[in-house]
Amino acid sequence: MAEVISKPFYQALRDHGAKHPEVTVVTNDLTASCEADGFRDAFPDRHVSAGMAEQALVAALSGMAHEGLYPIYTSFAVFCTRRPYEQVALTLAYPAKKATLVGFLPGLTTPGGVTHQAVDDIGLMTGLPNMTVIEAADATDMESVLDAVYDVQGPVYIRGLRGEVPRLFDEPLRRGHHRTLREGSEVIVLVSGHLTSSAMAVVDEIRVDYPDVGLLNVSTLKPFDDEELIAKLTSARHVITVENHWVASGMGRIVAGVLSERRSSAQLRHVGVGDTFTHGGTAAYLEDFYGLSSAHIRRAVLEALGVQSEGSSDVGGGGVVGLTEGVAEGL
Amino acid sequence: MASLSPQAHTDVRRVAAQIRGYAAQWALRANGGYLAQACGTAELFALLHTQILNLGPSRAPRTPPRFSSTPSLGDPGVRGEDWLGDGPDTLIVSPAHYATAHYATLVATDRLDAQALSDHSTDGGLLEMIGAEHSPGMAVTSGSLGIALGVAVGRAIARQQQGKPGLVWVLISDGELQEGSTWEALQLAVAKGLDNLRIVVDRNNMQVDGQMTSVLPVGDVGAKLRAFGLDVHEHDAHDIDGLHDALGQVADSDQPAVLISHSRPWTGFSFLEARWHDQKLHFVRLTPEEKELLEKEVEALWQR
Repeated sequence: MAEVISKPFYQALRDHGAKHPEVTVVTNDLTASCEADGFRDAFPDRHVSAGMAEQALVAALSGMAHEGLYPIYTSFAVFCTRRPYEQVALTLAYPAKKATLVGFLPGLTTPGGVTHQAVDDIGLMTGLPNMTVIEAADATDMESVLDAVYDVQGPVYIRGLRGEVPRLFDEPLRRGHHRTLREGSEVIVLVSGHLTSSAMAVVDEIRVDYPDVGLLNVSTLKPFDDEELIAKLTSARHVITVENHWVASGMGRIVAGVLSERRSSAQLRHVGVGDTFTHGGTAAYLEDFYGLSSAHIRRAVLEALGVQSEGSSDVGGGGVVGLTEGVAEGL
Repeated sequence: MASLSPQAHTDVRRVAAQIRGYAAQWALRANGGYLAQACGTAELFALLHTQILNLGPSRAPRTPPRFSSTPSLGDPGVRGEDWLGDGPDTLIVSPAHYATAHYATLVATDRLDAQALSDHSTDGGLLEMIGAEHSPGMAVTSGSLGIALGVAVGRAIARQQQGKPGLVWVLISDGELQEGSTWEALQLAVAKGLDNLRIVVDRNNMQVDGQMTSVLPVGDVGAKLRAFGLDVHEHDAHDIDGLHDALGQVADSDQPAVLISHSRPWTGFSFLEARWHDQKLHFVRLTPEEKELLEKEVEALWQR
């Protein structure tokens, strides 16, 4: 089992503030919930509590950036992207203001239901010109992502992980560079974000019999211009994208476009949320119900390999919602 | 509206106690919950459901079905509003974090089986922690705040145009006054002279980060709402007779009217007030000591 780090972003944000005096953190009543309370306590004069007012808040980020501050807005992903979309598009992306949005509770990682589940944020943010989009997969990513985007002279959307986060990687996140987690080219599993740890377990299990199954992690979703990654994907026989998001507007859609543009013959399969809105429940139940579980990843890989898979799911749904320590406090 | 009879007062007090009791049972079972929201609105929900609203019988089973899907084209799916009946009045609970309080109210007013609170608040059940419009008693998927008031305004406009009877009641939280969309909806309600819209603001001065005054103060809410052109009434949320009369005045108004219900969201359980001071009341995750206390205090509630 991977080591689990508690609140990796908490210290990272605080350290970033210590290193860069122009950093100002803005929150919408989710300060501790989004691990910005350490920064707030260390630099109270550089924290703006804007209340639940996301549209004005995001527009204010633009104004702050214009005057020379580097504003970082930490919230839930839905409140960084869906709620204030027009302000993000017109006051941050259009004038290419240097501001960073850190959105937590990606996809189905929250019991809070559709209003709290961002299954659309990657689509919304990668659709905007001038926007840089990063998805974190582990504690190391959360510790290093602010440094990795500091030189971007424009808006950045970081899809983050809060609370108890596994450490999967040793090396810090490098913008525009994928990670090779397992070498292999017959089938390449390309995973982003939170599902990386379950994809690792599934791929390791399958590699016992089928060693040519590779696993790559992608964190920079826009710009999607990592040529080394693109070369691996286009030359694979099968590519399976795995994401905690709507496939139709997420990483799967981006990869489909790239493979098509490069006239790749790789056969593409997707693991992700289909064309449906979602509801609330425990993560295990939701991943099973909406097709993101380890069983679904395994089935997709075995199908690509042409192997019959047993049809049953190995993930038991069903639990009392709200039990996980620390998950529900800030919804 | 006539004042509350002694018998009705007793009924309301009993329903309010049950709302607290059921919400506390939820918190005990799940080791946490939106308990303070129920404690701040127990008398309010009890009065609305037993004395003020004209809802009609429930059109949904006392034991809810399991979740099947969110609404899709041509299939609205399970409608949480069906538990509220056919009106002529309706109630929209905007902050879906108040769902537990409202589920508890449906049980206490015999629209939902008590067993549903444990069987159906698990994976695949409809009684979600943050309600959606398939959740019993919830009319709008409003876990993102500051949205349902606009829906209520639209329904009031449509009912006015169509000459439909009844009132559209909507409960909002004072935190939602921080959202600009709330004020846009109020502006529209006043511009359209919606004499069929009734708004109740749970003024609990509480949000996720803590007391609203320390997060982002919203100031004199009554003065602001009056300046927007609403007929504003205010009362203590836990004084049953006075709150009843204030709700009656709001119900009888001939304008878009608001009741500001000044609540103390720690009311009913001994350990909650300390959490208020510690700014940790929005979601109550019980410590072992709190759990023990709550078990005893719920027991006493049922015996009252």
